[in-house]
Parts: sequence; structure tokens; C-alpha cells
Amino acid sequence: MPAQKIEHPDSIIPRKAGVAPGEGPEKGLITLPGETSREAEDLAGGTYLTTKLDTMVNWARGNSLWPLPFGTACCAIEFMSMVSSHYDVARFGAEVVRFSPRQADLMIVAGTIVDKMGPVLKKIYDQMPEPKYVLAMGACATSGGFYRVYHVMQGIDEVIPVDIWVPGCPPTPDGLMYGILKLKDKIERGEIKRG
Amino acid sequence: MAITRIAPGVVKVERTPLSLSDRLYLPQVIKGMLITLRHLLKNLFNIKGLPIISYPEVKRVYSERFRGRHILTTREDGTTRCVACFMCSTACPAECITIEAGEDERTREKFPARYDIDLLRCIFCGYCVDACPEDAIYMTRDYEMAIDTRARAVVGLRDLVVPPNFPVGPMGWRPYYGEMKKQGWAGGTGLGQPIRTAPFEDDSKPNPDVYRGDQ
Amino acid sequence: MSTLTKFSAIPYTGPAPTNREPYVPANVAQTDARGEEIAAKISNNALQQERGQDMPSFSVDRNAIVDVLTSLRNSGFTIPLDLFGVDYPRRSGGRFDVVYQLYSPQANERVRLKVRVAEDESIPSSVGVFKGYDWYERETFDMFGVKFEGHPNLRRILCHEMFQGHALRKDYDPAQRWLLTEQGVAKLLPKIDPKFENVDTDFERVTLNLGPSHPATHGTLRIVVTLDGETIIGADTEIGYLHRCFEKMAETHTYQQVIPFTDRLNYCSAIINNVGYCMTIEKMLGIEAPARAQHIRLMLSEFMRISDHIICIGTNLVDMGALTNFWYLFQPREEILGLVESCCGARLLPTYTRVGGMAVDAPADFLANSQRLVNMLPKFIDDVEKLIMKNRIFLDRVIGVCPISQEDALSYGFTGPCLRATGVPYDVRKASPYLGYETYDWDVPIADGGDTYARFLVRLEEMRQSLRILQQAIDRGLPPGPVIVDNPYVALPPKERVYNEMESLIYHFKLIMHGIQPPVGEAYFQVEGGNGELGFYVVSDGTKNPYRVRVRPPCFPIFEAYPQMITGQTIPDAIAGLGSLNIIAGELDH
Repeated sequence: MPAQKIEHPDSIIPRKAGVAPGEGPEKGLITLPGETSREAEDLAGGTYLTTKLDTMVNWARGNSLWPLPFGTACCAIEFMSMVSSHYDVARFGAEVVRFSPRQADLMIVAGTIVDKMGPVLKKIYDQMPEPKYVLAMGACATSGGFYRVYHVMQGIDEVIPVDIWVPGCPPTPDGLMYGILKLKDKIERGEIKRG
Repeated sequence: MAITRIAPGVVKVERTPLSLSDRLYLPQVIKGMLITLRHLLKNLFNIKGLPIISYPEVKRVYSERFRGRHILTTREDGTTRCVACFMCSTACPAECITIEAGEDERTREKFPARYDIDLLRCIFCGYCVDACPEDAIYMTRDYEMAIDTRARAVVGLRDLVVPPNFPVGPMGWRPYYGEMKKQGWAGGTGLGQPIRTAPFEDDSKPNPDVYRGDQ
Repeated sequence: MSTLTKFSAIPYTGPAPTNREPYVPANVAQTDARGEEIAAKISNNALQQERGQDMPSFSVDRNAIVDVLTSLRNSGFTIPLDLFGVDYPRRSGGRFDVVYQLYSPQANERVRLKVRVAEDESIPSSVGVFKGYDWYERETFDMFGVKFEGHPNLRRILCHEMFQGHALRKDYDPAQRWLLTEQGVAKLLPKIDPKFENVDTDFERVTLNLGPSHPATHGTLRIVVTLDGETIIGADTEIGYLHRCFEKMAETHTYQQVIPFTDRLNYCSAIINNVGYCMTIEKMLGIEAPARAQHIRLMLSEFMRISDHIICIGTNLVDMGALTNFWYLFQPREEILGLVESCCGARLLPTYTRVGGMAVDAPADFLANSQRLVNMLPKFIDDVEKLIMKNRIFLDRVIGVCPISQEDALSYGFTGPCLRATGVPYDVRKASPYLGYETYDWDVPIADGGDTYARFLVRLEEMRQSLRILQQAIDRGLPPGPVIVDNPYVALPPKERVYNEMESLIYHFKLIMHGIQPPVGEAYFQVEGGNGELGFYVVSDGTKNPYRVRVRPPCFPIFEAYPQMITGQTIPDAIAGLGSLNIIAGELDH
């Protein structure tokens, strides 16, 4: 089906009807490593055997991710864009932005984590109740980005485990949303065994 | 707020004193509520006019300059256009490109035996595209990247090289300075060849003008 | 120790550049004559004029610096713009240059003082002259190890407590990290304001830590307050939670590669940073971007300023519980980012400008889309104004909250909307126009009081003034012509020529490998950022990497004054005030 361009009266941003992530015309031609291999795994019967209750629980968890934005820098601004009117992450049950680690289950690390912030990040991660998931957003949080320098942590996996990595500097709000959808997918498949 | 001019080029924003009704809280609160109500009604009866882009059902069309994931273009015979000159890795501020050069046995030409981009390090500045003298690296409009493990984020030739008939549709940041080239095909600038005009929408199919099969 | 690999900056291995001529600024004779006048007025024996600089420049003996600063302050140089170090390790007679830059709003001129100091020597602290120099001196100590005698609190400011060595010294390995453990985190105890010291109330005194991960501190600031009941009687702040080492990274990258780093200083208005940095290098090279590029720069700068103010106002109101404005304001902001994306392919951090112009031309529908935005924006600004400006709940929370007097603001070195909210009409765009701002009809808004409300009023009015500039710019239309200079030593040749001509290909290779090589010397250039005067001071030694890049971050002195502003207030007031200062951590911690 050819994509339809959608005209919008109040916006200069062009948009078109899309298809599910990972299936667009762009996606058919370029794939990321891991995507194809996972499809092969699925065809072979999946990797985990889950009971019906687990499926239910995972479905509920995946659809009610309450994010804790550990936003330090530029990516936090894009995170704000994602929760605001143009993208509206509320459609996926993830609009309840909680700044208290006790009330959140998805930590979105948005922005550079420097060495001075390391202990703080660790402490806040420890305070989150299970089940907890971590999304590393953007070049700095995932790997330090182009700050290979004396005061910047080279990826937050130096201190906390990470479930999903979103590249980009910063990732666009829809790119981040793709990451959240992929994490949701992973949780619903039961690939992340926590809690 | 009232504005008075106090000097040429300088205006002063004065605080206006509140009137009695303003000081009673409620009238202004109701006025504010009316504004919200106006927005609500406007949106309620004009769902199409909402600013929201309902990703993933509706996708934003980024411009033709969008700096997304990279690809390596190929010549018509299927070899990569890249000649491993290390320009892109030199220009890269993040030093996320690793190249190892090899030499083609037949043509005695340099080619990349290994070409890795660490997507997590990459800051998508487009400097690699600007630096390439061979039209070999482009950026696409693909922003849907989310990776399970850090090791998988290092993409190599297998993930970067595209077939020679790769359409122009998903292309983003391409090498141009000065006058913007509207058309073109991703297999190269096609120097000395007519450049095909193709609108974005129906360009996801291989291009028969360019695709030469298995010749 | 960390898992970081050894830093892999590419050392300069090519042939020695032939272009090692000294930098000669424009109208240097005037500057020197003006410098002589100032020297005659100060008449201090320790003052030695340095000729051939881009602003009146003097070298001062280190023991006389306090006297010289005092007499300069008394003769009108009331704003302390900057204080930083430069390291020349192989120089005899004092390894470090400590550079002071002052600005006089009355005479509209800048002055630069340099103090030479050796590794084991110290400089008398000038905190008594300008309050703003407190943090700057701490930063110079942190980065270079220069000691300031008599400084009340000379400890590290940007790097963490367990850091060893001084990072901006030339012999410091850029990749040398030091691990901070939780035990190493310093305990902060704010000094209690003398006003409240002897006040005896029934309440117990509590010391409360806000941040660095606190919703009100926007992630990267740490504020420690001592409370007496509800009143803050003492406050201290800690920054450096986003110290990304911009200045060290600039020294290890080429001039072009620094542009993406400047994006990430004030990420809410990234294009203004790009423009400021590129214009500094253009000033050193003695070139000027083509008219079309300047026009695009101006228009996008103004759009970015609006977007910066939108973030400030929107998030500040969220902090005060008014969420609706956030939705209303972020909608046009998203459209502004859409315009930026259509120009250069990235939304927030565009990396659009290059030294000598722009990366690509603006798209064909640029002016039409800009016009749509300019038509759209006033509606949203009006809505926000109607929602809050007569709402007494809002007014009670902002009027008289976190005030700062004009005198203090000047002494701290405020610039931008925060200074204009105290009634000083200083705007770089008016005072020393660039990009042709002098040809537009617009006004600098000021307000009285210096409180949170005044900052609101100034920011709202500034958005309207930016719209005025934009409307005029759209009416004039984009001038025809190229968007980047035709100079193969500065700008990459057009791609068509690179593919076709040998000479262009060689220039292309040479520019990528050897970079831009400005003449040897130093230059300072300033633009009006979202938060105030954003200046870049660049020292070139003629190679492809800058010898030193110093950014003058407008947030830095503003946040320095924050403890003083919140003392005597309550915590909700402090949070309302913090939002209105628009502290951008990337810029604050550079």
C-alpha cells in the first residue's frame, strides 16, 4: 500500500500514514543487526516457555511503564518533546512521569552521565523497586558519545545494567518511542526476567 | 503587562496593577478555564487538526536532509564505492568509524576490508558524509534504532552496504554544498549520466532505470 | 580505574603549516589608542599595555591586580565578564596566563587584563571587587591549579572531589579518569546568612539536600539549604554534574570538529552557539560569511531564542504546577524544531553552521514555513499570557520572589534577560551588533525589580520582539548568492568539483586532514545567547587544533548568585525562582 501523505492545517511538519515499526518500506531494505536473527529464533519456537499467568503479568507490565526520566542534558529536552503534544507517549501507558524512583519502573537515562553523577545514578537505580528496566537514551548515556574525556562515564553500563540502547544524539522523539515499544515488546515476550 | 518606550530601542515592561475582579481569584480562574475549554472544544470537533503524530500508525516524514542511520553505497557492479581513504574516520568528531583497507586482487583497487560504525558513539553530525570524496557514505531517514546489547551496536559492512539499485526514497543527508540537488540516486551521483527524477512517495520499489539485474 | 581506553586524538603529523602569520584584528589602531586612554586614566605602574589585540589589553603584575580591578570598576567597567586561565607550559617567566575580561555598559567597551603566574605562585583573590569572580576563581583553580590568596572557599567546582590533577593543563592526559565513590562525595554545609544567625525562633534548624536528581533542579544541580522552619537561612550550591569538558575536547579536535561540541553547550538554542563559535573563528581568519548565510543565521538564531524562552517559561510553570502552558508552548516549539530539521536534518542539535557560512542552503520553502510559524506563534504566546498574567495564584508565587538588585546583578556579571529584568538595557545585539541586527527595528525590553515576575515579563516581551525581527527578515527575503565562502582553506569545495577536478579534491583532502589553520593570536567574540552574552575566546597557535577555547557561559554567574537570591525565601519560592533563571546545565558546566 503506498503511503499517504497527510496534510495538516496548523503544522509545517509533513507526516504520512505509517506501518508498524520494523516493517516500513525503509526498514525492509536496511536492517539492524539482531533483528533478523531474532526472527529466526522466533521461528525456531522461541527461547522461553512462559505460563499463561506470566504472559498476563508481562502484558500488564509492558503496557504500564512508568518512566523515571533521569534527564541530565540535551536528551532530556527530547524526552520532554516525547511527552508533549506532538508525540504523546501517553498512548502507550507511559505518561505517568515519576521523579521518585520508588514509583517508577522504567528508568530512562537521558543525557551525559559524568563521573560526579555516577554514585547518584547508582543510588537511584538501587532505590527503584522490582521489576525495573533501564533504557539508555542517546550517545552519551550509552557509550559516552564523543566525550572520550576525563570526566565522562563511558556508558552507563559501568554502573547499572541496561536493557535497551537507543542511539542518536539525541534520538528523535519517535526514535525514543521506538525504543520504548521495543522494550515493551521484550517485556511482553518475557525476555527480561526480573522481579 | 504594559509597554512603555523609555529610550530609543529600549522598552520597559511595566507591571499592571490588578483590578478588583482580578484580585478576587475566581474571575481570572474562570477566564483561564475558558481558554482551556476553547482548546478542548476546538480539538474535540477537529480531531484531524490535532498536532499529534500517532507514531507508529502515522509517521513523521523527516526532510531529505535528515541525519539518520548510515549506508555505504555501491557501484553498479555491486562493489562498494568506498575506497578506504579514511577521510570519514578523520573527520568524525566521535571517532566512531573503524576502517581497515584491503586491496582488490583483480583491479588493484583499495577497498574497505572492514568498515565498522559504532552507532552508540555516533553523534549523527553528518561530517562523514561531507568528508567523503567518493560519494560512498550517505545517511538515511531511518531513525528507528534500538539495540539489545552494546556489541550489536557496532555495525559492519554486512549491515551498511546497500545494493546498487537502492532507491532514493529513504535517503537523508547527502553530500551537497551550495546548490541543493533535488534528485539523484543513492548509487552515486551518476556523473555524466542523466539524473532520474523521482518523487518520494512511490520510490520504495527498485528503480528500473538504474537497476541492471545481474549483469 | 576506568575501562576507558587510551585517548586516540590524532596528533598533527603532516607538514608544518606555512600560514603562521600573527593575527591582526581589524581597526587595531583605534583599539590601541583607546587602550592608551584607559591606561592613562588608571595610571598604575603595574599596568603594561599589550598592543595589537582585538580589545584594549593590558598585562598586569599579579600583586597589583586587585588595585587595577578596583580602579577599572570605578571608572565604569562594572560587569565582570570572565576570568579564566591559559596554560603555556614551555614559556619562561610564568607558566599560566590568568585572563580577566570586563565590560563597561556606559562606554560599551571591553577590556582584557592578563596576569602571568608561575606554578608555585598565587594571585590575590578579587572576590572583594566583583562577587562574580568567586566561582570563576574556583574554576581556574580546578582546571589549572592556580591558587588565589584570600579566596574564602577555594575548592574544586566542576570536577568531582576525588579528582586529582588539573585537567586543562597541557600535560594532563585527556583520558585520565578518576573514580568517584559514594564515600568520596563531599558533605556540604551551607553557611548561615549573618542576618539570620541570631534570630531565635521556635523551630529546629534543618539542612536539606535538593538534587542533583530532584524534579525541581532539572537533573543536574545540587542545592543544599538550611531551613529555619520554612525560611531558608543559608544555601549552598554544587555544580559540575554535567561537566563534559568542552574546553579540553576543543583542544583535541580540529576547528571544524568543535562545532558539534558547541551545539551541546546551550542545547535549547544550539544554533546561537554555532553562530557564536563560527563567527569567532571567522573573526580570526578575517573573513565574513556571505549575506545569504548571515540572513539564515539571524533568522534561525531568533527562532532558537524563542524556543529557548519557551522551554524556560514552560518548564518553570510546570514547576509551579501550571501544566497547561507547557502543552500550549511546546506545540509551536515542535514546529520550530521542524523548521530547523528541514534545514539541516537534525531537530535539537543541528550542527548547521560551518566556519565561513552554512553547511547547506536553506530549503526552498524556508521563508514560507517561517511565515507560517511567525503567524502561528503569537496565538500561543497570547494564550499563555491570558492564562497566567492576571491569575493571582500565579502572581502571588512570582512577585517579589528571588529578587536581585541591579547592583548585585552587575557585580555578579549577569547578562541577558536576568540582567534586563533588573533594569539594565544591555543586549549584545544592540550594543555591538552582528549579523546586521542594527538594520532591524526592534526594542530591548527591560523591567524593574529583578524578581521572578520581572524575568517572566522580559522573556515574554523578548519573544514578541524576536517575532518582530523575524517578520522584517522574512519581508526582506533571502539575499541571493552562495551560503559559504569560496575559500578552499576554510570551506570544503562543492562536491561536484571534488568529484571532477583534481585541485578541488586536493583542497578537500587537505582541509579534512590539516583543518583550518587560523593565524596565530587570540580573539574574543560575543553573541547574545538565550541567557545572555555568550562569548568565545580562542587562542590559535597556527595548527589545526585550537590551542585554547574558552566559552563564556552566561548561566555561570547567574547560578552563582542563586544562593544569595533564595536566602530568606521559602523552598517553593526557590524552585519558582530557579526555573525563571533558565539554568542550562550543559552551558553552566561546559
